[in-house]
Amino acid sequence: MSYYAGPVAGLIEELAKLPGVGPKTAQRLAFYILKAPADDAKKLSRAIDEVKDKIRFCEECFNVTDKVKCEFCSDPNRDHAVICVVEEPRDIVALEKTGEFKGRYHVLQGAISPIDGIGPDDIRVKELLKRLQENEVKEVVVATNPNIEGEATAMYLAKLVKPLGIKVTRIASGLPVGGDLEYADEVTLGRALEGRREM
Amino acid sequence: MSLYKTRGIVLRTHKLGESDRIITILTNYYGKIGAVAKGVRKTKSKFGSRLEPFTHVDLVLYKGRNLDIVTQAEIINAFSGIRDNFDRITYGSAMLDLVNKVSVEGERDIALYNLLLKSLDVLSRAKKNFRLLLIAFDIKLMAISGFMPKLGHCALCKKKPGAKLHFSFEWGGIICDECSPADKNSIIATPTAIETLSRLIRLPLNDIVDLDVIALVEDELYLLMRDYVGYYVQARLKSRECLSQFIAHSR
Repeated sequence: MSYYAGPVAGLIEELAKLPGVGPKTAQRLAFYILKAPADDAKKLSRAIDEVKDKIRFCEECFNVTDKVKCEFCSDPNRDHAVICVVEEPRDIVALEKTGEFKGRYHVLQGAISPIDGIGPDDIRVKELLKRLQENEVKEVVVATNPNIEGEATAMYLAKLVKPLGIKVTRIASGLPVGGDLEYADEVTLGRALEGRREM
Repeated sequence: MSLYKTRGIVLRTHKLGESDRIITILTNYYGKIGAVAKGVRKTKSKFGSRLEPFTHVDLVLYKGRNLDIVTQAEIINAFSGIRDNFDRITYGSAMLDLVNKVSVEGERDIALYNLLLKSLDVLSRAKKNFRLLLIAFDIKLMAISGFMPKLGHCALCKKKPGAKLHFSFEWGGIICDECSPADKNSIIATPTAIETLSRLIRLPLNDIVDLDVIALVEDELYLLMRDYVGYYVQARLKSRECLSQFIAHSR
């Protein structure tokens, strides 16, 4: 039996489905919404509606967008010849913040994970190959996560893309800026040494 | 404070919340355990690569109410040879997946632990024969788990079989032509394959890397072991499906 009136109980139930939100937090949020001005609550519900209605995948790179092509793919100032491959749309945001990359992206929407049974057919690899064949691309930068799934994906892509005569590069692994050398694990430190550069 | 130390091999990881992971580890003393590694997905995590699958680690854990929490980890062997090669990752994943399915939480199994450790070590250094290593791993694992197939004589009439052999999953070994109607699902096996399989059980893993097995025999054994393991493990081994996908792609 619910102690709240139907609509309030319903709202609590829906909020409790969100990640990291338990029943108590859901209650608090529900009552916040209840007390908030009607305008604010409407705005929230409209925002949720809009994101479900309007957002889709970019037909070129599979980033999330509200247009046919995302802002990176339709930007004429970005370099066509370089494609940076990432696992998730959120990775694009992280890379954009660096301001170091001026090419385009390709979102795989996952990574190859043999142990979970996720193979290349389950992510957007075919679509990447199609792009590479149809466009004049000189370099593919593989920016998948530096964990076992990301590494497996990177190696698989390299095996596939190199025979097309396109340069394949992998983002470097190494020490995080501001960290201490003595706390680095041997795999990371080993890679940092491997990728050292002349000063 | 209830801290304890153990040594183990990371079998797999699951994302948990914003930046944590649940790590499944096969330990030498406590059997399979699940533990939470807090903040491991952050770039500045103190764990770095120490809790990635395949890693052999020394661990300090804090006994939690539900899941334990990893407080310290030190690499014994990262098996970089596996991490750096796509094919080794796929065959190694099949090993980890099978161990994860057959091991029981909290139940010590030193034989299984040693088999996995040795297999990963050999795989990480192997130049070829990855698939044969997996076949040998499968049969050795089945043998130590109590499912050693009978290969010397017919599993039903105990007689030395003729040239025509059948392999029966139900009877757990080879059956002769006369007995073969007893199991309609038995499959025809070649004497060379069965002989090779007995060798794989006996030979140490180190020697299997240099073994020369005819591709056709290896193909037969690969399918035979895949189905034998599937029959007894009774769980979906997703890594094998993935492996078949890769083998098909590379041809």
